[in-house]
Amino acid sequence: MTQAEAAIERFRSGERFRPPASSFLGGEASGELLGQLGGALESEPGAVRVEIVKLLADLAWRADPSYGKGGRVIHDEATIHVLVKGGLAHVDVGRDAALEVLKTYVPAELLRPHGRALTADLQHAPDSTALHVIAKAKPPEASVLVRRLLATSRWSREESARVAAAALGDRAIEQEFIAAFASATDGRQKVHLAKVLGWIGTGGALQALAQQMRTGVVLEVPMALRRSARLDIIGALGYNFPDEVLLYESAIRSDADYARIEEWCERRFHVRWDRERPPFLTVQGFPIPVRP
Amino acid sequence: MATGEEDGALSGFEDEGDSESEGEGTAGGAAVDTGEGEDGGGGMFGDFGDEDDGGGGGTGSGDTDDDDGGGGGTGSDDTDGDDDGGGGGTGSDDTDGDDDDGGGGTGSDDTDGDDDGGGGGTGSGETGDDDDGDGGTGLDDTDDDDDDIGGDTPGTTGPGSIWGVPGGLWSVPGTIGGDGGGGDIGIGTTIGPCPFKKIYTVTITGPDGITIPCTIVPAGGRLRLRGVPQPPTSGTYQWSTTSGRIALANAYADTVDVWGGQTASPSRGAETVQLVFTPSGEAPLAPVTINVTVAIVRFSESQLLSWGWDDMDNPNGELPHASVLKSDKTRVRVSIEGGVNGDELKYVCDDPSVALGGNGAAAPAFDLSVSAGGYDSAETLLRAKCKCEDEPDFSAFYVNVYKLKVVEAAVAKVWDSASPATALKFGGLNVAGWEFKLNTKYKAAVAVTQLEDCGLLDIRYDLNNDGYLTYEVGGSGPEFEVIRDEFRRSCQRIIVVRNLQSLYYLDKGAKQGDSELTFRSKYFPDGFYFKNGQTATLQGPTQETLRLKQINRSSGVVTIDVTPINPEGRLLHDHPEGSGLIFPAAGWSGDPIVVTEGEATDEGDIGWTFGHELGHSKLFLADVDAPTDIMNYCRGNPDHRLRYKLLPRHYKSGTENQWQLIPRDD
Repeated sequence: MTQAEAAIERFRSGERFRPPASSFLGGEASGELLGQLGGALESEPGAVRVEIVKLLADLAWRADPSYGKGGRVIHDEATIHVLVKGGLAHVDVGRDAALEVLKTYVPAELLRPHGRALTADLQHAPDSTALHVIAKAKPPEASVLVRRLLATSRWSREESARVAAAALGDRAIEQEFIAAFASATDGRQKVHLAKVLGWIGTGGALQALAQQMRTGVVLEVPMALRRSARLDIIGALGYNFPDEVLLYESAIRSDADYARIEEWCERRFHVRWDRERPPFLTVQGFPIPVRP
Repeated sequence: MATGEEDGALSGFEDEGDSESEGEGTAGGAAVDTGEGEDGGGGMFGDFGDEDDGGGGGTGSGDTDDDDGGGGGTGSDDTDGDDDGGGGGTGSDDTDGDDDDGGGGTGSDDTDGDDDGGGGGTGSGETGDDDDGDGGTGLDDTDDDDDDIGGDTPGTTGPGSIWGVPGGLWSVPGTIGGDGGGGDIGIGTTIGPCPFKKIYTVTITGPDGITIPCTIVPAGGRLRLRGVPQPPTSGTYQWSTTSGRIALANAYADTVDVWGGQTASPSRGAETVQLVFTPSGEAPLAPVTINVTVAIVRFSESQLLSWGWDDMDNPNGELPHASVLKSDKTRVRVSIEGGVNGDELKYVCDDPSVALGGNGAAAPAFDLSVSAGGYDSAETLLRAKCKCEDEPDFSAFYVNVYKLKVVEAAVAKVWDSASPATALKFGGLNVAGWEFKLNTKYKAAVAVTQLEDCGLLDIRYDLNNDGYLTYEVGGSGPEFEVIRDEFRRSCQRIIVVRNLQSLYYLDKGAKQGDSELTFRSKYFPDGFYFKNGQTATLQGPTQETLRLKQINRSSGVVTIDVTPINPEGRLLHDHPEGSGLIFPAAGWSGDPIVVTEGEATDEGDIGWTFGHELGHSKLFLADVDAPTDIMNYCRGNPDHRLRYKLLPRHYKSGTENQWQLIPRDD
């Protein structure tokens, strides 16, 4: 029994993938594993497909040079091809998982060669994550489809459809999101809108993110969490520049790390600051009470 | 039940004994009576079709002189060549204004080309004076189907069309629930009183007066029944029941409301509703009855549940909520009391794009499949309904569709082999097992944890060899930073250590006799977690316990009180700069999350803490006052749920709905 066959049998029996892949597989991945998993990805039921996608993603990002630096990026084109071809073969939870991996871990320039397939997938089964993937890949051929979706009652008010439209060049929608982000003072809202601008990923959206690198907004859960919204702004920039190690959250440990990111923003987006950098904060820890 | 072929509607009267008014392919004859006195109108019956039709309608010229009998009629024939019942007929009325005339009638034919029973007929009423028979109206079956069950529109007759005095009209009402013959109106006979005795019946129908009545009433719900006399007539209605499980409202109207009590019927049809109808001026008809069932439908958590079920604790009858992953399915347990099976009901969502209910099983208890649509976050109500026309609602529950929230974390059990006291009690903590346990709770909110077991890490962190991880509040300190920097991951990290000492460091040394302490400014205003009056231990060459009398959070100065050791409230010993005030904590949120074994006696204290702290860090959930919730503000819970139900926050006013609050925007 090959590694792939063994893994698929386990998934069929209800076992879930647990990282790392090498532990799950009981050794390093064999050369033919990807092809075999890709074949299964096209034919297995949804629940098994989800686990195959997770296994493929784990294999890919751990093998990626960025992983050792704290990143999670999939550059491997063969894996991306398998995720697009097999992952999107059926409309089910497996497809959702594949779209999520494509959106989160694959750089935009490596999605672009799959623009036609991604557009066809969106046309076949419109979905919020599929729209986010389209926003990231920005295939020109998707513009008409996204506009058509936006004209429907189902999608006209869906944020994901508006994100895709903005990413594909709708300046009015883009400006709405930018204005909302710039004026947001609530932590949850600011964090969410930072992600939205990251998904849009246009020059204007990225510049707006950079402009807010000195925001003092904090997402706060009383006595549990204080998280600087700057982390999410950096995350949104990192979504678009996955190879910039200085944007990895795990790399931010001091005020100097924030300063380096600001310098990068100045160089890249020509932004200037109209306020001082806020006091250092990444994630403030709160005590776990001693059991009474 | 009537069928069109077999029960072609009676199309009217025979004309002086020649033609048949029903039957197969019988052509009606023609007769025109022009004589005087007490004559009935003639009629023409013509079947132009070629199949097995019932009798066609007829045309008659009415009698036009005085004191005559019935008017004529026009029968529209069945002309489509199919197997319909007979068409109706139009009768021209006696128009002389005098007495004792019969009305005419118009019959609309079945024209849709199907095999229905005969259509009805309309009678034009007599417009003169007294004692005339009125016309009748018959409605055809027009739905173009071939069925004979379930109620196409039957014929009805107008008042007085039955019993015209000599020459009056006669009609057969449509059969309720079938496509059998509609009420046709034919032409009056020529002479003499009708030989038949007038017979009324009453039927119990659905509230529209047509459909088969629903016989299942929800507990606490309502069912409507209607009494329909045939032929239609005015009269009084008296509905009654001896059942204690139902109550009737509007019991003296044609339509009664049957209210189900709170108790289900012991068996199917156990409750009897009786109707006594008394036509105006007549004796009461024999009672008619219908057996109904009070049913209770309960939705509950299924053993086959894929995601979540929140029964809302149900103090105010709040409807439960089922959660389900977008594009996925779940199951909900359905239990029906009253002798009703699941397949007698349907399970319908208000918004079928959000979710769809499956089919019920032919059993009183089963697991209902619920399929979710492709929404990231959406809600719809799923109702159990009767399959009948009236569709009374039984129970309902909400379906909440969510995009999956994945919470990734890397878990390392950390010790320092150079400091034996750091050896873990639960070094073999089964991370995979805890991932599974947490997910049995997280899945309710359509969230999953994915814990990477990073094993037992030997890190030289116990720099002062005291057996503790020394942690400066706020997430720093040399010992903590060693671990933080060696254990690097791109996701949320969790470390488990044997012992933990959390410290606030003095900014300035304190001398014996001092009554104030000054701490590092970085703890203020938000990071100094002691409260006024709390007791703490201050390190130093000689550590001492003191009470924090007053904390000034803007200046970082803490007024101390060491009573009763020192009645003057002053330090008994010197404490150099860098001495730490020990804060009692079992761990810290942040990144990495620090979990200490401490006095834990089993893995549960540690594993559930993973879930709680990840709830803060990745789901942004607050501490709540809810002892069965994983986010309860203190540990030792009997259960570890995530809820849709609004739960009171512990540290801030207000409540929160955990399912809804979880961000789904990764």
